[in-house]
Amino acid sequence: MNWFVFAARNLLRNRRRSAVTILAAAFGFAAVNVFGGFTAYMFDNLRDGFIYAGGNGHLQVYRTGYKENATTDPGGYLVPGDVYDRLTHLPEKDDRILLVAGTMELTGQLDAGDRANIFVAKAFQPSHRDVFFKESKTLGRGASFLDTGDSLSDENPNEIGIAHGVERILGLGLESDVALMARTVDGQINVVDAVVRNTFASPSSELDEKLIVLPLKLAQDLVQTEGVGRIAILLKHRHDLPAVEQALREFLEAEGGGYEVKRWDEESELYQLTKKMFNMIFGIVFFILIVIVSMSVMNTMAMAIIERTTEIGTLRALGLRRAGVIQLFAMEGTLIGIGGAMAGLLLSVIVWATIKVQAPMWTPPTIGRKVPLEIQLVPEYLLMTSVFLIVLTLAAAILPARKASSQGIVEALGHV
Amino acid sequence: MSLVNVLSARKTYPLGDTWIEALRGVDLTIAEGEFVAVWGPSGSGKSTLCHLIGVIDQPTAGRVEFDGVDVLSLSDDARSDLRNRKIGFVFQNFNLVPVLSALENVQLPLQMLGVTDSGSRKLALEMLEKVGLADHASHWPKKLSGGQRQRVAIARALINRPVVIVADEPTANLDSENAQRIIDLMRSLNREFRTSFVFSTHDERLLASVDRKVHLQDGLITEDVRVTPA
Repeated sequence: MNWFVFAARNLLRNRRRSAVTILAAAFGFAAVNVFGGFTAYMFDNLRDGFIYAGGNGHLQVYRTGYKENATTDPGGYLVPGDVYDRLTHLPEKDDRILLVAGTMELTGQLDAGDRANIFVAKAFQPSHRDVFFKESKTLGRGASFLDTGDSLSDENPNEIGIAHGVERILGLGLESDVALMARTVDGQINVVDAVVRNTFASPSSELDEKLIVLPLKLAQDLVQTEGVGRIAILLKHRHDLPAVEQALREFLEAEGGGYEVKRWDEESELYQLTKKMFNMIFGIVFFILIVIVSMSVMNTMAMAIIERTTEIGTLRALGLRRAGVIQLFAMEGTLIGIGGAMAGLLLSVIVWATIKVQAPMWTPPTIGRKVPLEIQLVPEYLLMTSVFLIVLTLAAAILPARKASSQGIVEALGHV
Repeated sequence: MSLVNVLSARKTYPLGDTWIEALRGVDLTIAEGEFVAVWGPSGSGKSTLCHLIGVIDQPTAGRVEFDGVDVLSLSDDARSDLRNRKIGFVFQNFNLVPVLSALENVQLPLQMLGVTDSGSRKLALEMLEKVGLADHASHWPKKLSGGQRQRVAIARALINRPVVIVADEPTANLDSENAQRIIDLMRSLNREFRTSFVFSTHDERLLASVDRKVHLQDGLITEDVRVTPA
């Protein structure tokens, strides 16, 4: 018999009470990890949504002042065509970079014969968008991005995609002819003809009646430039980001400077705000669970101490030091923590597996189409929660044990 | 040679709004190898005196010396170590740990000393054999009779080869036949190991085999008689 066996047998004295305490710890463990797993999935989804679905890449390059002045002076803050051209050759020299994709954001008027409306457009090279979608973990398993029609292609630069709201208010359909009107970089009004190739669900209801997508070439023809607004840099591996960022800064410095290089997480305000919000909710949930679990363990230990007061007196009379009494109850608390962590891990795996098998679909805010809901099992979270739970139950056991160890031996022996 | 010296010991307890004077100035010396009965009626202070001799309580006034050391001068840890190494306890209610087998109960004091499981197991089995319960080693306390439990408790008290064993009313919960057997067992172990025994009782019939009878009445020693046992 060793002290751990002694502690384990003590826990088995009142099986129901110990089981309830271990279950409380297990549910706390599982709640933290399921919620943590969901937030990890959400963060991945938001990241995926920004980098891949949004076509923004891991890094973005744009001229200093572009974000502030692009709407009033669109031509003055574009990345010149020759710089963009040299940047597009970077993947040939640096195998960490998968793709360099120029994009342009512009506004103007969409004319559909007897009806017209302003548009907000995002322009990109269609073949580049295919690469983004192919690389996305989330998009690859989701429902089709397009509701009707075919993807845009580099071969047909006069084809565009429109959001459902645009389709509805302008009475458009597939193959409808439209005219796009916008100001050129020189401030003149220009018009190009286009054909509706597909329709899609807008990720934002506010943009639903305005959003269109068009090939970069068509946008450049419309505003009469060879430059681009932003350049999205897509990497093969996320962990190369800091090194590539540095290399990119050096490259752009050599090009004369005046460029901003931003990481995806700096650019995605939604990611930052959502992460902050979920971290706060996670903190509140975690705090509530700490209180519940520690109260439960303390209550169990306090009950055990009251029931075993005479026994504590006996052990002390036989020569067990006060620290020995504390250690004994600390072991019991630790065993509850270990049991709770193991049962909690099992519960977490059951929840994870159930969701994995059922694969319920949902529409994340940044993607605008249904993707499978997931809960991740994050090893770091599991390990940290296990350690934290064991330390917490140990601490929760020590507090009442300290009190028990300091009571008089004669009083303890005479306890009824 | 004296092991324990109780010098002018007084002990008062609070009881509600009043104070109970359990001991009112007691002087007592326990020598090596003695077999001493502290006897007297209920409330005479027998248990309190046993607690002081066993170093699980401290006098309100006066002092208790163990091996010439004032126990009040020792830290709590040092008193715990003293009890573990030099004092054995036998309780009225046996006080075996219910989740440990008879053998494991006997091993307990050794394990508190840090003796390994295998080492303490061998010694505990030998001790159970001395009290006639080797074949009950794996039994849980609840499966043992009162007399058997008390014999396990005696084996537990002796396992560290203490210099004195304090038994507070060890026969109070036993029938007269078992009570006599327990006293006889303690006496034989006293002779075999030369361990001093101090036990309290209110049963005069159990005094026949003792070396010394200390009579307590109202917190005072009224008689301290050395006898030649029958």
